Amino acid sequence: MADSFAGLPVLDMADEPWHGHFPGLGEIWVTADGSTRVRPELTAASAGDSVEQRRRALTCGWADPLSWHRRGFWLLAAVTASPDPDLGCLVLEASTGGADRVLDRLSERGWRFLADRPTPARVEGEVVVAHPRGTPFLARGQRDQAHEARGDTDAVVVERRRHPAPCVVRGVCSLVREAVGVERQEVLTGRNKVKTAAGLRLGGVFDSRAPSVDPAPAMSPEWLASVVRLSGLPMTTVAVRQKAAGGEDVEADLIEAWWTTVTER
Amino acid sequence: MTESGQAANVVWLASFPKSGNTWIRSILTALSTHQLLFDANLLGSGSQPYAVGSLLDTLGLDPRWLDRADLPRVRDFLIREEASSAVPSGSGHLPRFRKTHEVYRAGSPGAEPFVTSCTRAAVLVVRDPRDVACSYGPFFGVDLAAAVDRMGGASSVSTSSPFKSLTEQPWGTWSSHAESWLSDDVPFPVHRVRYEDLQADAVRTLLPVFEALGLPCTAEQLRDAVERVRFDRMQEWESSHRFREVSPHTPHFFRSGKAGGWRQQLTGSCLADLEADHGAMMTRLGYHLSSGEDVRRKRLETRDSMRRQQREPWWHMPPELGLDVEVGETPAHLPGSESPRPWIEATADQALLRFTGGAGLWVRHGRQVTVRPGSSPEESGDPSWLLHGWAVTLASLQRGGLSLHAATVRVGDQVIAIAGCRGAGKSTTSMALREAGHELLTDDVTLIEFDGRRALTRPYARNVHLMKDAATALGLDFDVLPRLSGGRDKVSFRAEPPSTTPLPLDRIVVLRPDPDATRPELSEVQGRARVRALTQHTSRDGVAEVVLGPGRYFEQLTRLAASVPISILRRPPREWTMPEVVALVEDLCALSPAVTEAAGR
Repeated sequence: MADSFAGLPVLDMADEPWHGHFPGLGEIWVTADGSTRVRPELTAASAGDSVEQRRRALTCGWADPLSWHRRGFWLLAAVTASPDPDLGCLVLEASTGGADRVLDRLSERGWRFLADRPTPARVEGEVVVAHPRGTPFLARGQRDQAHEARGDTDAVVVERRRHPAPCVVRGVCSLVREAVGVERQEVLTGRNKVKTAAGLRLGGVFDSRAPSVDPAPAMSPEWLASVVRLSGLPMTTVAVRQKAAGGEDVEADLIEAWWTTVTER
Repeated sequence: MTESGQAANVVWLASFPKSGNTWIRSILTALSTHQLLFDANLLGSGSQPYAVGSLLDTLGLDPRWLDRADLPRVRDFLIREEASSAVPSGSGHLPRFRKTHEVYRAGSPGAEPFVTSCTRAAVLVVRDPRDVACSYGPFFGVDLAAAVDRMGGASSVSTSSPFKSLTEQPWGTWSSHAESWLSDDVPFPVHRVRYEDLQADAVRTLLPVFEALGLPCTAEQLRDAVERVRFDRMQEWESSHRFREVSPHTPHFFRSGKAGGWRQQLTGSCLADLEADHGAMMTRLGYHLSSGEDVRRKRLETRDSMRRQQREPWWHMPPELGLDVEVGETPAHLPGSESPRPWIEATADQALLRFTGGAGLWVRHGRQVTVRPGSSPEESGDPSWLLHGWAVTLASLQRGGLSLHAATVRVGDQVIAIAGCRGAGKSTTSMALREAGHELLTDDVTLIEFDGRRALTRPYARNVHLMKDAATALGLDFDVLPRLSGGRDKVSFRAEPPSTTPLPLDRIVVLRPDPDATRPELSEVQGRARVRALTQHTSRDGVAEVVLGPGRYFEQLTRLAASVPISILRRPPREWTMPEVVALVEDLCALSPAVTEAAGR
């Protein structure tokens, strides 16, 4: 980690518990067993930013992901959801413009969500299992001033129906930007699956169990093994229009059709 | 190494979009990659610094939970983090190239967009903006005219977004982008590379730059790398691969890399607009222009006017006027009102005006304004004249103030109101004075308030309305400027925004077209004639007496007449005598030595 520099954030993993400090926001502590503590800064860092908003940001955005990691979970840069949790769930990589709209459509159709990104997951027995996080879901837009994540941001907290229990991962769907020459839907094979898995599996601080004084290798054997495991899942891409015509649900239709295909195997 | 142990190894590959950044990065990647392993999708440089999503990997912190004030600090931190993994080379470290399209700016300690302590240098890649425009349009999915407008209008992906983990990323205009990186304020060396020089001889252009940057490379190695990423080879590669940096609007990234290709695509108004916007910087960077300086200057003036007008919707009024404006229906009549003209109904605190084409205006209590444009602005032209003139005048009267039908200009340290009837040449005279180097404060409506015995005026930003012959004489493009709505044969021009603090009014000049005048002549107005000289230009079609009441109106009028010198400027009505008019006004103000100095003579 970088040496501490006045005004810059820092995460110290050399001692127990892990200690993070973000000037203007606050501090976190995460123990080896995953328990957490946060201390938001009490002075107003920006207009309209409350202490409670800062506490929530520290807990949901920083302490919680590290806690899952310290408890031995992978962190996937994706949302997880399912129309029928008894059959499993989908990992939805949804960071492109317009993805919020697609997630809203799925939610309206009764899909239930385990977690906003990052999603905790691990191998249990023979399967990859995603676990629910109780943290709020974020979306983009000024939907309602009262639900802004912070005082000066374009991220708002939204409600989505939740599934509160772990769920077997049946497949991965990456929402990509619609472009000339890009298929509306493409089922991935071979090297493209490995590339997708590598993009999903968060590394860096999420790639080492124990704190180390020496710089960690760029990718640990454990991280590589998780990528190999993830790339064994069925994968597809669905191209998303950044702004769709009113009521257009093509992307949600494609995802649901693919879910049917995957769960019928 | 810096004192904190960081290596100053970052080299910013800075360029306005579509200027050759990918070409340089291709050469750099080819230098460090075996030819059998080269793949355009492996292009190095790292992600652009505005994207801070990697904070999640680096600190475990999801940047979507941050706010806009936090993001610059995150960017600074991530740049330092990446720079800290320096690779030794000889007596130093290998340069670490990072691409950016942003203008250079310094930021603040701990939140620097381009962290000085980590930066070794920058390479600024520039390309003829005419070729840039031809590439910019297809890449961003816009036509040539829109590309030219964006390149000159400072439109850029500027707003920061915590949800998308993006800091602000201002590109500026093509000119201001280059200007920022070439400024003496940049605290590290900047090596300027022209795309056209790369095309002519890439090895000769880049070898000294790479040497200065500490990148070990022989001429032979560089020649080999340049050859491997030759444009036709990149096109061939792209024919069987999808380049990850391709635009969503085009199937191919490597379309045409020729220098000077603009000659086949860019003509007419697009070419003229582009050279007007960027002529100065193009000359500085060694690009030859196809148009003359005077032509470019006037065209730039028209374009700057259009850009100022496009910053806000037509119904937007300067906040210092304190007006609440809505677009909507106006009532058919005002009960209990007087009607000084058939199209005006007014009481002490409300006024209703009806105009040709169905336009209407309803102003009440000095603050609330409802405007009905009559038909859509797209169909009938710019309706802002309804607000800039009459709404402001009526609101001012309802608040107890006076409104002079005059333009206001600052000549040296003298504030002059140029009054006159419709068609007397107020706007033309004020624009001609602006052309002569003086400051245009307001057109057509001079708001008057009193501070003891002193008359003050409060300027506000609004459009100037010009007829065709005036616009043409002033060198402006009548056919390009927005036409006023309601069939009015005038166009809108927006000058530089004035200072909005109240200013003492020093003099009133009343323009009076006189068929008996053979040349412009000035005369002072004395005694009771001063009140008569101003009545016509303060009455506002009789509304002032209705709103203020005859007593208060007369009191204000005499107060104004007593507080400032008044001159009549007679001029022949049909001839263009503007240079003489300007000279007369300047001479009038020459009592103050500051005039000459301010006009830059």
